[in-house]
Amino acid sequence: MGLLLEVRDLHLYYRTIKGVVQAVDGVDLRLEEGKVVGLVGESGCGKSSTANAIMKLLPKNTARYDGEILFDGVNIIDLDDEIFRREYRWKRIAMVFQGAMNSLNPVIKVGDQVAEPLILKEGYTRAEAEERVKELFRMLNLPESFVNRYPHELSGGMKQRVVIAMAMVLEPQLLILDEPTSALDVSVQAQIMNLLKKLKELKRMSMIFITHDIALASDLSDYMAIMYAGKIVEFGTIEEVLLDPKHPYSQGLIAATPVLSRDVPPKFLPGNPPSLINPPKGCRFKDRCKYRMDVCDNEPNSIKLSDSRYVKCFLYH
Amino acid sequence: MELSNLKTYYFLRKGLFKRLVVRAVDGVSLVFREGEIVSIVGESGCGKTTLGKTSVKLVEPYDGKIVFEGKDITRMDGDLKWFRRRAQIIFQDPFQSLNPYHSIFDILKEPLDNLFRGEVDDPTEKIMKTLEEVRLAPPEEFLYKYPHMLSGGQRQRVNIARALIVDPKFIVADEPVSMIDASSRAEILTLFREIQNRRRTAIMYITHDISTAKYFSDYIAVMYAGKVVEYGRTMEVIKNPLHPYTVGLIASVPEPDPENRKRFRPVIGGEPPNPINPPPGCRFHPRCPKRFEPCDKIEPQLKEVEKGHFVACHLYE
Repeated sequence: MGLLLEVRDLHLYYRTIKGVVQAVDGVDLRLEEGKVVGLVGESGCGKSSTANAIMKLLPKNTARYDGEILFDGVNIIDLDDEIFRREYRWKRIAMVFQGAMNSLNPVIKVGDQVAEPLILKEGYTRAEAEERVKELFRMLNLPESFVNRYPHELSGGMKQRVVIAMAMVLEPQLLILDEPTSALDVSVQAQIMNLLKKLKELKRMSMIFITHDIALASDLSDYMAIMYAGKIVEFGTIEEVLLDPKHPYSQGLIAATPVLSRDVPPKFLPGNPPSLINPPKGCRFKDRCKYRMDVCDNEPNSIKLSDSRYVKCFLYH
Repeated sequence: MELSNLKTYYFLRKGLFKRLVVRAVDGVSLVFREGEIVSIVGESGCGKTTLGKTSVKLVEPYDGKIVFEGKDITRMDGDLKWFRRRAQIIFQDPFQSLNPYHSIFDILKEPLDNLFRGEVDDPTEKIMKTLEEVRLAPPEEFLYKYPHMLSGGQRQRVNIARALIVDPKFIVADEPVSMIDASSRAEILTLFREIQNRRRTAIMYITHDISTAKYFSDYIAVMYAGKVVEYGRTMEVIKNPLHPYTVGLIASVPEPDPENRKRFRPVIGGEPPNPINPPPGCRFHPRCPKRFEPCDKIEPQLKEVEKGHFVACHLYE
C-alpha cells in the first residue's frame, strides 16, 4: 500500500493583536492509500488549522507556514498557488468543513450546487453532470429526486450527505472531514458514520477524520493522532493508541470518555490547555501532567515506539 | 416537584388564518424527589429543553399540572419570588448565558438582590462561599473577573454558582456540558453529584448523551417527539432497555473500540419527526424495526412493565 500523505514538521502561525498564535507547531503525520487517520483533540488545539494547512487555505494574518506536506511525493507547500488550485484542491484533496451543511446556498438546488465543479472544472454538460450527481446521491443513500430540492427542504442528516457529495464529486484521493457529525443527533450521526465506512471500503478513499470525540474516531480510523496545544503528542494505529495509550494526555482523554458498556466512571483531567500565544516552554502538557519531571521544561522529541507509532513525552526518552 | 400530564404547545401563525401548533411537550408526568438526579434523554426537537423551561415556569404550560412542595404552581403568576428562590435553571451555552459587561461578583449578586433584597447579611461572603463550592478557588481571584477572562468550564461553574446562590431545592441543568471539552466534562458532572449529595437538591439533567446520564443520574426518562417513552432507574434502563427507540439510541452511541471500524453499527433509520405534525399512533412507528398492527393507529400509554420500569410501547401490552 502506497504512502499518500506525509506531513513533516508543519508549522502554521497566525498574527493577532495579542501576539503570534502557534496553532500548528511541528506536526508530523503519515497516511497510506485507503486508510483513515483520526485527528483527535480538544477545541483550540489546532486540528482545523492542520486541515487548512493541508488544503492551503491560509488566512491573511498567517505569520508562518512551513514544513513539508508531501502529497503523492510532491511537496505542496512549495507548489504554486494557481497550480494547487487547478490541480489539487477539490480534485485530489477535498474537505468537508465544520458546519458546512449550514453554508449551502439557500436559493440554488442542491443538485446544481454539487454539479458545479463538474461543469466548471471538468467540462461536463449539464445532463452528464446531473447523471453523475444522481449516481453519487444513490451511493450516499439520498433519493435521486433530491437533486431538485433546495437546502431548506432537507433535514440535517440529508444536508450533511449533500455536503459530503460536494467534496466527493471530483473523486479526490484524500478527503478531510472536520467534525462532520457534530451538529447531528446521535441516531443520525451513526447513519453518517456507517456511510463513511461504506465509502472508505467502496472507493478506497483516504481520509483525515477530525473530531473531539475519541469514541467516534474509533468508528472509522485505522490510525489515531492525538493533538494537544498545536502538537501531535501521540500517533499510532488505533489499537496501539486506544488500548495502550502512552502519552499522559492520551491516557487522560481516554479515561475521561464515558463508556456505556463498561462500569468504570469517567475521570476528569484537571486544568485547562495553555494559550497558544506564548505557550510554556518545553512540553505543553506539563502543567496538567501527573508525571511531571524537571526535564519536562525542555522540548520532548518524537520517540519511536514501534514502526507505526511515536510519542512526544520524556517518560519514554 | 411533580409534573402531571404536562403539555406545552407553541402556536405559530402561518399566513393570515392558518395556525400551526407545535406540541413540544405533549403529556409528560414525572416526579422529582429530594436528592435525586433524573436525566431527560432525547434528540434535538424531542421537547426536553421545553420540558425543563416549563418546569421552572420560564414557559407557560398549555395544560397539565405542576406541583412543587405540595403547592400547585401551574397558574401561579405575578409573584413568582417564592418559586424562583426554590427552583433554578442552568443553560447550555456558557458563552452566551453570562453578561459580558458584568463581573462575576455582579453576576452572582443579582439573584440575591432580586430574590432576597435585604435578607442576606453579607452578600460578599455568600458569594465567596458559593464560588468555593463550585471550585472556583481562591474566590477572591475570580470576584472581579469578567466572563471573557474565564475558560468554558469556569464559565459554566459561574452559571452553576448563580443557580446555587439562592439555595434552591430543584435545579434544571440543560445540557450543561455539551459545549465543554471532553476532558473537563466529567469534572462538571462530578460537581453536580456533590451538590446533590451535600444539599439534597433535586436535579433534572437534560442531555442528548445517554452515556453521561449513566454515570450522573439515578433515573432516566427517554423522550421522543414530546413524550416520555421509557422511564426507570438508570442502570435498569441502560442494561435492560425495553422501548425500541431506547435500544436504538443505546446502539448509536459510539464507544472507543478499535474493532468498531470493522463493522457497521445497527442504526435507527430516518430522522426524528417534525413536532408540528407528528405521525399518528406511536410517534416512533415510522422508524421502528418492530412495528406491527396497532402501532400506526393507537397511541401507546406509559405502563409499568417491570417494577419501577415504565415503557410506552405496544410490544409490552
